[in-house]
Amino acid sequence: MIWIVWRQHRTAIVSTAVLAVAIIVFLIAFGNGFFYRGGWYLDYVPLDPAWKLAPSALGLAVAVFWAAPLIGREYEQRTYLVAWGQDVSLHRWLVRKVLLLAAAAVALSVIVGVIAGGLVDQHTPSRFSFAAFEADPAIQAAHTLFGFAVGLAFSALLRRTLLAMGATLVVVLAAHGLYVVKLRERIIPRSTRSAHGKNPVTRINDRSQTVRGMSTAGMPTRRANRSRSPLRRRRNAGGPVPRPPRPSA
Amino acid sequence: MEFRIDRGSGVPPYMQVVRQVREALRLDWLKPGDRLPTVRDMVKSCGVNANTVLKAYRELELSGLVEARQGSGTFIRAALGSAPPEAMEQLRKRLHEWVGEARASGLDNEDIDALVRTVLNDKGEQR
Amino acid sequence: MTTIAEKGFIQRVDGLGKRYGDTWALRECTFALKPGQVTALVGANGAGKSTLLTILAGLLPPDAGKVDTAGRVAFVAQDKPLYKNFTAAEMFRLARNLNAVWEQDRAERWLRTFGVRADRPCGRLSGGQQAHVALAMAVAARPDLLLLDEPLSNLDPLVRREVTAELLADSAESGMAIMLSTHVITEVSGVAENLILLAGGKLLLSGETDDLLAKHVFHVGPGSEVLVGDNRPPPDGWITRPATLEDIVLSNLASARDGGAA
Repeated sequence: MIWIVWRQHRTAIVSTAVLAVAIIVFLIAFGNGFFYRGGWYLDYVPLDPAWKLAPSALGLAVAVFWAAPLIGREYEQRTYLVAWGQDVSLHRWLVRKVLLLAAAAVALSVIVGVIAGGLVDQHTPSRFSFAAFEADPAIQAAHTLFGFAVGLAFSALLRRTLLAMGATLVVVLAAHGLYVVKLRERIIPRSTRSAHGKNPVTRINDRSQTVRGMSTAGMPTRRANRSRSPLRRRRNAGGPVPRPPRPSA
Repeated sequence: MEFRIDRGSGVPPYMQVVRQVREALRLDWLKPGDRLPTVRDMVKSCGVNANTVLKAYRELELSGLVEARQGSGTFIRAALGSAPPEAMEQLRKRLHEWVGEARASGLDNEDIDALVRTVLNDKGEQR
Repeated sequence: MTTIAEKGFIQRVDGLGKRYGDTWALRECTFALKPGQVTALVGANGAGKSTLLTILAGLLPPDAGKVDTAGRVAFVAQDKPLYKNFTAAEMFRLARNLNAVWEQDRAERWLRTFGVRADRPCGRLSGGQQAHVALAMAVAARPDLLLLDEPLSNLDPLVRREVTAELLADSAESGMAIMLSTHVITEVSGVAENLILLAGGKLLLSGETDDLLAKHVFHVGPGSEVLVGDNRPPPDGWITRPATLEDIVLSNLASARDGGAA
């Protein structure tokens, strides 16, 4: 069954893995201040929200490209007549497939979450810890599972690939918006995590102290937690680094 | 021997096999001791159902024409030449002439067939 | 499987019905499929053949009646669906993963017999070749009952005979029952020992083909021809002519239509 899932979904899985790598590269580049070095696009590209949302993009991709076509495509191409006509019942086929794909999706999300979390720890947003909260592997996994469930539901309900993908995109985005506006404030813990101080990626960021997208001020609890890392202590001792001036339009 | 199943015919396929075996016996194409094709070969070569072949062989066995020998196949047991070969030859020759005559009077195959069947019916012959 | 021996059939349907909206695509179908038997499902397009087969395959829930299944069932749908980007070899691997029994040899032998390449994506094979991949998959799973929806329809006429011969040989060897649908009646004569005739979703006729052929004859008299199904002797001066399966089916369809109109 692992082979079947891989063979059938390898394009989606590989593309999503590529997306995950792209997100990680983007986060690292962002963390290194790469985007603030050049210039002109800063007026056009909302980098700060992108930085916060980037990890969640993975969940969206999983919802739209993995889950939404899962059942609808079988109906559309009539392959359900082959896939479900074998000895393995539809029930078991679906359960195994969903479990395997969801596990793979969660694994990808957790990887991105761990890396993003490590980076966020270095660049805590000025007033809110939303980015840090969002980058938590558990929250990433939750986003992905939610997206997967929505996609799967539409797939089973609509039985049309494109329609299910569209509906999933709209609903997942809407739900995410609702969550950002209404819900997140309530569920966010007052004092946040500490585990990411151990993350090896932090080393990369230490080389880029001079240019950072965000101030590290405003998160005393977090800084206290991080003080275990000697590298960080050194950097944090320098206090908040001002954002380099943007070129005027 | 080659069997030919006419799928558009109203004669049940098993009956067609039976008839072809009987015919082959009459025409001396098959002799006592000859082995009939295995069921598998028949199925493969004619594309007929195995049960059709079995039914045909069973029918032939019941009429005493063949016998099934355990494990080695179905063999012809008796000859079917109801008339001596010379008589057969005679009959065939006369029929040949008769058909020529019928054709000359404008009958086609179907007409001839119908005529033969009416005569057979009148004589009370079966099948 | 012991249950087949106990029950004496592989599948039995009782009062089966399927409704789309408020029209019944299938109504009150009752019959049994027994080991080793080959059954032809005959009917015009839209008579309910595909609906019936899909229900028997367990891929469509019926709205009335029930299906009692005692063995493993394989199904080849009419359009022979396959994963278009899978090669035949990959389709076989999928089938091997999803079936309790799988004979790789049989599947490969089928493709060799009909000259179909196993290393090409199915989407790039011709319709006939795709049909062969689907059939090879179904046969190699060694089911107790093989359901085939118009198995010969996209095959070259020259190959049809060979395909039926292969299927029948497998059936003879393993006792696999076959139910195949068709609208070309001559294709199933000699192939199927049972015939089920569907019209308008209803079972119009069902029985052994040999029986049907033996019972039905034409009485031919001056200027008219009557198909008779009850062994009654012809009127004086009339002769008899054997009826083909096609004659029997057509006459039943015609009388059902007239009966329905009246």
